[in-house]
Amino acid sequence: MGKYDWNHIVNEGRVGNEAPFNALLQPLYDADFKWQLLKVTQSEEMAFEVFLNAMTKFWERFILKKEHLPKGNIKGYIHNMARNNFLDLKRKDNRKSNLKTVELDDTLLGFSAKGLSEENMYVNRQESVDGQTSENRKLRSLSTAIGKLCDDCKTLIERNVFEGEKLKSLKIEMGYTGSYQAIVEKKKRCIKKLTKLFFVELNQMKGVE
Amino acid sequence: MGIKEKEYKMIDRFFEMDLDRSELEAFEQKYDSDEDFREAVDQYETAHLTSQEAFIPGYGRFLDQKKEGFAQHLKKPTEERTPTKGIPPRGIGIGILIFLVLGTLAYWWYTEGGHQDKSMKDPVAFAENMAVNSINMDGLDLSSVRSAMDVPGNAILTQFEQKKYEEVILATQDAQTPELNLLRGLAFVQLGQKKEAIKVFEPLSQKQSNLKDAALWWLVYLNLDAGKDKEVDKYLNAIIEEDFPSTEEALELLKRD
Repeated sequence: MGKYDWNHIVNEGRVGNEAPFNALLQPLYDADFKWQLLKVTQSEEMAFEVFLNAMTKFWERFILKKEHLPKGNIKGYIHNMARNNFLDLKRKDNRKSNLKTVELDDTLLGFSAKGLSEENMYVNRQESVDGQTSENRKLRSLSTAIGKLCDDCKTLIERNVFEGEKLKSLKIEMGYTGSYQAIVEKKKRCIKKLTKLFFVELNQMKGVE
Repeated sequence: MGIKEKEYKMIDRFFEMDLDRSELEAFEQKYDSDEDFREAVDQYETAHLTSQEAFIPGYGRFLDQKKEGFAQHLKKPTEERTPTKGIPPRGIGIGILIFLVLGTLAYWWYTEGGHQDKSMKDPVAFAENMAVNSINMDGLDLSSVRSAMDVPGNAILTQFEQKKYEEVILATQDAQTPELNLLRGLAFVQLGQKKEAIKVFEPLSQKQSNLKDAALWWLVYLNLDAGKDKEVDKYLNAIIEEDFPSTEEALELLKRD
């Protein structure tokens, strides 16, 4: 079974005892992750960050959402999770750098010259309008996507989220005679559905632009 | 949808941190060389986080708090840790998402006619409705909380759900956390001991916590029910000053007869 009893750690976490999970973090990082991740990230703070993100995702997926633990080497799996996260952080970092480049280009074009010239004010106004349009597009896409959800998912949004009704009382009304977990699973599927519908709408909106 | 189903699944698994080493290499290569794919990754992230917030409001913030909790069990690196160096703080993104989601939901709900049930004919009923809806019991996380008497938070929540309100009150004596105090206050409400409930909600409404708005709405309702209009206005103004999402409802209730 290796140094750690993962099934025990996960099962305890699922019933609300997170002490074994918390106690595992430091020894796991020191013995199995720190140096390996340093090789990938080249920075101690980044190694720490991706480990923390990977362990938070591990907790979310296997303890909170009760997904089945992967078969085989769990430490190896967590290491891959950390690598996924490192790429994600790099992606976000690059995206920010690209935005900076745009700003610098604007500066070169003289738009952010001293003070608020008429020209400068016009650009600021345009940026504001464009930003708003982009948000409006997202709102329209989201609204359309919600409208395309099945009735159960709509009911979950309207009653559980918006009117604050408890899932347990909705469970009976919506015909879930099985365990409480059944309606929680339904909610998860609704999230997946809405993600896809919203994604498709965003893509179509892009095609229109 | 513009990109292939296989690619969509790959992106989905990337955000679940589920790609193995070779899949991750393929993902990175595609990301670096294909602009449409890059855009699809960004759009998926927006769609996923927004959908999650739509069904579980506050989920992103909850995970951030959880992560902070795990960090407490780890020694920080020797250098000053700036985890989001060069990366936009997640909180800002989540904040925008919550705004986006709530705005859309509000619009959608309004156009569906859901708002029409909440009339202001009965201010007490309106306030009670606001108080009840200010708490999402399903989202109440008590897994890492223990009472001053060392009772696990989840056990107290179970007692509450089983309507064992006296036991909840006993277990939450000298409770230090907002979550347990909220349960204590609600238990008093259920037993009809409204003055005691006010004594619990009052300090809860003074401290910054995720449950501050809930405490304020319970104080509005309990004082309105007791005919203490001056107190009601004080708490409504506190909700407005803090600019909670329910500010509009607070303004509406201020205009009551």
